[in-house]
Amino acid sequence: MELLKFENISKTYGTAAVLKDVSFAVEKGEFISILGPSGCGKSTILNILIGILAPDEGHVYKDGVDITELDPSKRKMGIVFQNYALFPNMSALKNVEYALSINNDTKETARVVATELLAKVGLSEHMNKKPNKLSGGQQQRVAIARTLALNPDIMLFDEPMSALDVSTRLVLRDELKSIQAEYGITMIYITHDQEEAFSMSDRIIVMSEGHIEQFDTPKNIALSPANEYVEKFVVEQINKKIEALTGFLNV
Amino acid sequence: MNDKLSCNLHSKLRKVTSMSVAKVFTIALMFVAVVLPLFFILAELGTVDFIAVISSSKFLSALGNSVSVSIVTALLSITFSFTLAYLISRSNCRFKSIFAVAITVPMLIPSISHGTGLVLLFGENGIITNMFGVSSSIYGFTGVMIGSFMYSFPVAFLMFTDVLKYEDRMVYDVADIMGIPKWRQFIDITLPYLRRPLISIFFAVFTMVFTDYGVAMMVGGRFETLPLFMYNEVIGQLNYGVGAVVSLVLVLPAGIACVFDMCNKDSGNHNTVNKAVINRSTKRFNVITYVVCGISLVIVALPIIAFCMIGFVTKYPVDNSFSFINFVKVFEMGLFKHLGNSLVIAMLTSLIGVGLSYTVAYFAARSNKGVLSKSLHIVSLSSLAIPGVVLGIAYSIMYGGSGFASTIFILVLVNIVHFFSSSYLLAYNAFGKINANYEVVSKTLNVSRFRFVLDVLIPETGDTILEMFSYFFVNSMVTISAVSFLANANTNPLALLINQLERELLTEAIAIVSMVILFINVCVKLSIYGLKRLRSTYYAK
Repeated sequence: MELLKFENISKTYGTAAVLKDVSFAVEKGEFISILGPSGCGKSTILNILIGILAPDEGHVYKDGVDITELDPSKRKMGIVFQNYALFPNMSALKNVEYALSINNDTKETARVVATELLAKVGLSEHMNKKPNKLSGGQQQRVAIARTLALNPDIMLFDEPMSALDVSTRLVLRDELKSIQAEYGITMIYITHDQEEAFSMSDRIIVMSEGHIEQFDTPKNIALSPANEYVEKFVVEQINKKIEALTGFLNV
Repeated sequence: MNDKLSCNLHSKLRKVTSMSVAKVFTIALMFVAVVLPLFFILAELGTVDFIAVISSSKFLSALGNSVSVSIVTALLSITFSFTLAYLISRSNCRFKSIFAVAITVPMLIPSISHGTGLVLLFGENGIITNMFGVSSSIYGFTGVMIGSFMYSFPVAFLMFTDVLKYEDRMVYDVADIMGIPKWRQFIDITLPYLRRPLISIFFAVFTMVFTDYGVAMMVGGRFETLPLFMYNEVIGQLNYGVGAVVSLVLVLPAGIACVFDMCNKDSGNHNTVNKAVINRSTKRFNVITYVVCGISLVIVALPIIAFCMIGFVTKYPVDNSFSFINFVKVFEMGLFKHLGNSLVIAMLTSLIGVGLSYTVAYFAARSNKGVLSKSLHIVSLSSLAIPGVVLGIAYSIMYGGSGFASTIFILVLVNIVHFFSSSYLLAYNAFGKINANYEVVSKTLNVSRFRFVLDVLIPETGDTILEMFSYFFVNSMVTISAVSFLANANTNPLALLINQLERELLTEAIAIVSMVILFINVCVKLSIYGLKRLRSTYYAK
């Protein structure tokens, strides 16, 4: 079932066209990565999706309803940033229950939901710590729990693991996938890391210079890249990594 | 095609949010408060013969005096305060934080009190004059220079300390590893890094001295400076036209400085800088630090000691017995009434000023960085370019004769405008350091802007808010510039009582008033310090 549709979206800053007539559709429950180098327009897509930026042309539909002009708070989407954006003056627990208690939940319900979610991301022992007392991985887990609390239809991720070390990334990838499986949430994941996109996604949008080069499953992209750009930026890079990882075995 | 057009129009309309309306309203408000009054000064120029004023010998000699004393003082202040700031920030000597605080004490009394301090120490019957039989006169260029130095070097010291704090330590570590000697590091790394701040600080000190009349009024004697010339013309002879002409000249250095700073603006993002203390300490370095700090403490303490000695004896040097008679005299002259005025003015200025500058900084720093935000930012910084005396004259021309002009509220208003930019910058820079994604996250969490500000931003910037409050309060207590053209017998704040006492040659009374102002400001500073400590222990939990 089609949940989200981006239809002929264009966006220009001054004279620079950041998005040129971009269209794609996302199925409910999918894990989609938007992959591309910095400046390719992937963050602009994110900003238009979340509703803090209006496109110059085109429409965004969710469940068949035009949400191009809808306020961010009414879109039922959550976002997780690279720099976590946790409220620094609140404990992990407060961060998660804050939005719930503001959005008319009783304090008791908010606390129950927040405690459950923090347990789910493995932070029961650290609930009362402030963000600056938590590691990067733990902060990112709080940010994920905070977003989950409002029960969004779509979760957006803006390079959420770029600031984390490799081992934490690997663990968090699995956790994210299992959260998705459990809640059935549609996830859209912005990244410039080919490996990350290939290991997590159902489908990948490969972007460059404001337009989509290819939108397909990781397997199809790897086996039949749409053009030279995808071949060079995606497939070759992945193969280089595989070679680097397995090369020593052949020595 | 039609669809395209309507979509474009729609997205443009969407941008006209309540935020934009608030910004336009604020820009208009700032324009009325800061820029419009200046037009009244321009209009006033029509009432005098401009050429006659600027070619008069009185004007030219005042201009010459002002320029020479401001340049010499600025050089002196900068040399001394840089040495001090460099030594304190790079050494590891004990008590350095206490030294750093003590050095800023002179900022807690009015400029005119610094002049008074000099008279009490080195005047004809001054304490040091009598003690050592010194005969050379303090009045004139020397007095104005020393007095201006005393009240300007702490400001330069604070500015240098702030600049040195953000220097990257890693650069020096690398230089050490490369075997570059310390003195070469100073010349090749530190000095080039300081070039721009040095020019800014020079302008700041120059402008401070160039636009102050307090010190010259006290120790200038026949040495009349430009602001004093203006003060005498306007207050003494109600000659507003001449005041307007002088205003134009006084605006120049501050205006140039303001443009210079805007062109060389720092992005305010020091996140990548490794700020760990750069330690240059050797035993010799520490000894030098102690000596220079010791000298500055004596400089800072001397006037205060003089105030106490003169204030608490019957009649120096004739009758040196301990007595409260000078206190009684000052009480009879209405100390409490003026003190009350001062406290009301300072409190209202601080509360309203903090609220306004915080809100405006929030609009400018934490929303879409479009043309409106940038315009708001520039308008908000514009009051930096207008010296207090000029603002005072402008307001007095603009509101002269109206009912508003005779109330305490015009003093509150002019103080808010006068000190707005610095307080605004404190908030603006603090907001710049806060995670840029909070607003987006709040939106998706359905948390309103208002709740976000209340629950996250204000707690997070509490220290800055306290700093802003303290800045407004202390400056409202010590200012004698803008308010001097707007206060009357009923609304006179305490600092302006000194002008009146000076006319009546009541030096002992001035000493007491200065002490009272100092006492109140020290109390405010201590309370702010206490509140910050409370906050940090609370948030460390």
